[in-house]
Amino acid sequence: MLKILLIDDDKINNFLNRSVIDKHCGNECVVSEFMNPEEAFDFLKACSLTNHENCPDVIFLDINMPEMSGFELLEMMDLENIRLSKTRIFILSSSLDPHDIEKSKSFETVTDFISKPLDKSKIEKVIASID
Amino acid sequence: MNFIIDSEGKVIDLKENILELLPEDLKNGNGSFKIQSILSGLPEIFPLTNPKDYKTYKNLVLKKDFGPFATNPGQHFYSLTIQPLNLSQEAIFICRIEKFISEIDASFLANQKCFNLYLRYLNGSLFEIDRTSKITKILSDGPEGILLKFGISTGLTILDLLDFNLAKKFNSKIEEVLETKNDVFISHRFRTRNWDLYIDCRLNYKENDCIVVYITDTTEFIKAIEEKDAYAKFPIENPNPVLRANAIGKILFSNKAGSDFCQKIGIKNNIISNKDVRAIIKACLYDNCTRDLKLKVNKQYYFLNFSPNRENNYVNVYGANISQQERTSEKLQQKTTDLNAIINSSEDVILLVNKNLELVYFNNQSNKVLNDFGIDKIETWQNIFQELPDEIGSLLKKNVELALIENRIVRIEFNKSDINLNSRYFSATFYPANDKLNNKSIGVCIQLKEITETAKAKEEIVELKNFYQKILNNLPTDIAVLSNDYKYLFINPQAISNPEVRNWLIGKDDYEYAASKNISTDFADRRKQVFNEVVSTGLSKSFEDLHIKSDGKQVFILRKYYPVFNKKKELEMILGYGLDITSIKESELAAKRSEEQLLLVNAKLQKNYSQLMQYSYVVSHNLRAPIANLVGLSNFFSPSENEKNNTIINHIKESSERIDTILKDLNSILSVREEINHSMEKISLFKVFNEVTSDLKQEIEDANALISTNISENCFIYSINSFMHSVFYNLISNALKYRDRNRDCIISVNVNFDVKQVTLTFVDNGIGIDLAKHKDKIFGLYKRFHKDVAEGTGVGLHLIKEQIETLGGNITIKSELGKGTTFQVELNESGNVENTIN
Repeated sequence: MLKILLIDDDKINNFLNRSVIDKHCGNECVVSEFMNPEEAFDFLKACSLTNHENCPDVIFLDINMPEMSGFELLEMMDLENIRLSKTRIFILSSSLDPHDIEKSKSFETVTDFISKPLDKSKIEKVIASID
Repeated sequence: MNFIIDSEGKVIDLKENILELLPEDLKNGNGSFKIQSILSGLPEIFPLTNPKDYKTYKNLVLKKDFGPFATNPGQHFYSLTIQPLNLSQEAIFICRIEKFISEIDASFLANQKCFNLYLRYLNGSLFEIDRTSKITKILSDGPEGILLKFGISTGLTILDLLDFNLAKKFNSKIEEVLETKNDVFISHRFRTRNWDLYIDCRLNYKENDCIVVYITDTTEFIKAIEEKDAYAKFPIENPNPVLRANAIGKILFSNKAGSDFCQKIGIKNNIISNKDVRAIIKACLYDNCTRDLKLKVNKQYYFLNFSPNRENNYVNVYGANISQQERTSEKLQQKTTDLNAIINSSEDVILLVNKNLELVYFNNQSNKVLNDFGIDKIETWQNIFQELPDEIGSLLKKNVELALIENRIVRIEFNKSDINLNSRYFSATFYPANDKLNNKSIGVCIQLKEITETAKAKEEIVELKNFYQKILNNLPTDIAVLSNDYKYLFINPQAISNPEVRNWLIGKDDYEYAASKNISTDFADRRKQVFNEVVSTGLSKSFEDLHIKSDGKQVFILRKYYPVFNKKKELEMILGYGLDITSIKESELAAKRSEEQLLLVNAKLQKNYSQLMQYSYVVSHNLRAPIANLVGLSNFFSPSENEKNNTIINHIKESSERIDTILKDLNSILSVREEINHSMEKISLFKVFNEVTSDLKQEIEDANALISTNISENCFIYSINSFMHSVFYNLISNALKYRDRNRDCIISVNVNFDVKQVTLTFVDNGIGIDLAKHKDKIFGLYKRFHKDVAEGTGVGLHLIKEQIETLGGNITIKSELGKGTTFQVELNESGNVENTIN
């Protein structure tokens, strides 16, 4: 089973994403979510330290969040040298700003930028890239 | 005139016409002679006793001067001399009246001429001779028996006289007397073994060819005179040596100084030892000539004059100690020699002319200089001004006269071409020469100094001065030179145009200037401060000087004070110059103002822009998020049994998708401006063209369009890839969309490289656009002109216009309905990209 982690403060978006994943590849995936990126950071930090089996395979990370932006989260991880060897991180954002797309690609830890909304073709492409 | 009177004063020997001969002054009004009145003033001649005996008056000689007379005042003086005439025992007197003009004449006549004449009548003898010189009658033999001495007696002729020489003299004079009937005098010295007589003979015409001869013995008189003269020359008191020596040098007479002198030159047995002196004495007696000798004895110089007296066989020697004069003369001689050496070694021409403008002296240099002007020799000149070339002669003459008349030194300068045609310059100085002792003008000394080199140097300096002055005066710059104590040394006309003020300001400073103009000293304070700084640091300094003109106009001057040092590295002066920078300053101020305004506008724009960017951010992040959700949710919604709900959901889905499209479009337009900053690169137009045609492959096939291009593999430009892609994509896809379906779609895309720009042309044969109607809106946002023909978002043209303009280029359209459309894109070529077009 693929463990997918959603990090987004948007409740509706999280609902939508979970629905899309469940509908199109529900048999293969387990979805969990953090609405607060700080909590997500603590979780991921713990994962890296313990190499826990709950460590997610895919993370959909939003950029625009009130407590801490997705980029800030990524920077903190870099800063604290949190390496999640098997985890693929995708930026899932509604941003149309080319700067955001470019910046996303500048992180070594980021696999790709995906524009919201997540739909069938996009999730299938993500799953396919892992297999 | 002579006449004889008796002891009563009565005229007894008076020729008939004597009254007529009398001087007018001596006549009375009626013509009678007034001798009595004259004689009455001489009582001593005629004592009251009035004896008639000759002996009473024997030694009497009287003389009286009188006149002038009132009848003819100021005319003549007369001298009356009365002498007893010893012709008989009865006392008669001869009177002589002589006219003289001055007292000097009178005394001269009295002492010499007159006196001698009267003496002739003394001691006389008297006889008569006839025509044949035969002695007819002896009237008197005289007291000394002169006639006897001469052998004169009645019946003899004059030729029988003892003295042959006297007889000859008589013979020659007798004729004269008979003819003229005037008295004739003969003087004679009668010398025999026994006698030495001097006599005067008077031949007096008497009627019937008879001549009365008076003979007067003048021996005593003449000897007395000689003796007197001799003694006059031998004053014992004479401080100079006086000697009389005979032929062998024996001293016959000497005064005290003469004896001393003889001791000095040597004397033995009363004979002069000095051989030279003795030889001269001998020589003088031999030829009867006087001689002079200059003799040096014991460091003393003596001048000796030797006067021979042959008759008496002696020589009078008059000496004078001339040591003083001699030494003075020696000194004078030396002085003259020195002076001549100085004058002749002078390079100047020195000439001396006397009061009559005659050349009396010239130095050696004179000939040398005048030779250069083709003048031969000055030696024989007298009238120098006529000999000199015209203009110089008259010039010198004029100034010599000026110096003479005004008795002052005159200086002139003149030039003249010499024989080699070189211009020569001279200064001439005219010194009036005065004999100061006698306070008399002697003449004028002319000093000609050649000053050619000086004059030429002077001319050059003047030329240079004019040259530099011209530069200084015409420089469009204020120039002032200040002394190290802050006084003006020089100001050019640009700085101060009024020459009076300019000259006045020299030697003064800005404070005095301010005081004279009654203006504030602010400017002076400002300048002085900079001046002091330059003086203390020794470095030049610039400053801006604001000058307010009399019309209130402000003038900005950029000044610089520049220190100048002398060889000792002391501050000599300060050069100041100023440039009028008013126009620069004004444009600077204007530029500053417009810059400030621009900054203000820019700030405003920046504010607006950042607001816009915030909106853009809001759109791309905050607004997009719920839309994205909406799109996602509506996609995810499963169709239900309720048809109406399904329709509503579909509408929601469609609306949300449209909002999403609009958001994306807006975002892409807004992001155009930011793109420019980072992605300028070398782009292959060939690659862009191929990518776009490949992307539009399906549409091209559907339209069966023919797209031609001249873009080759070598066409590169420096630009933003995504923009160029967008331009090609939109224009080609538009051409396809709005093709004329009634004919084959032909599209051509061409590039042209010019020196400075790249032109891209997109030509189609489509349906065209009515530009008259839509021109302003073609590139507007969400404008569509062929809604019925094809789908379009109305964003494409607006977007590429934004992109092209961001690149600094422009896009234009030409179109005609039913014929086609041409879009021309002009881009500035930037960067060095070599291009070739096949």
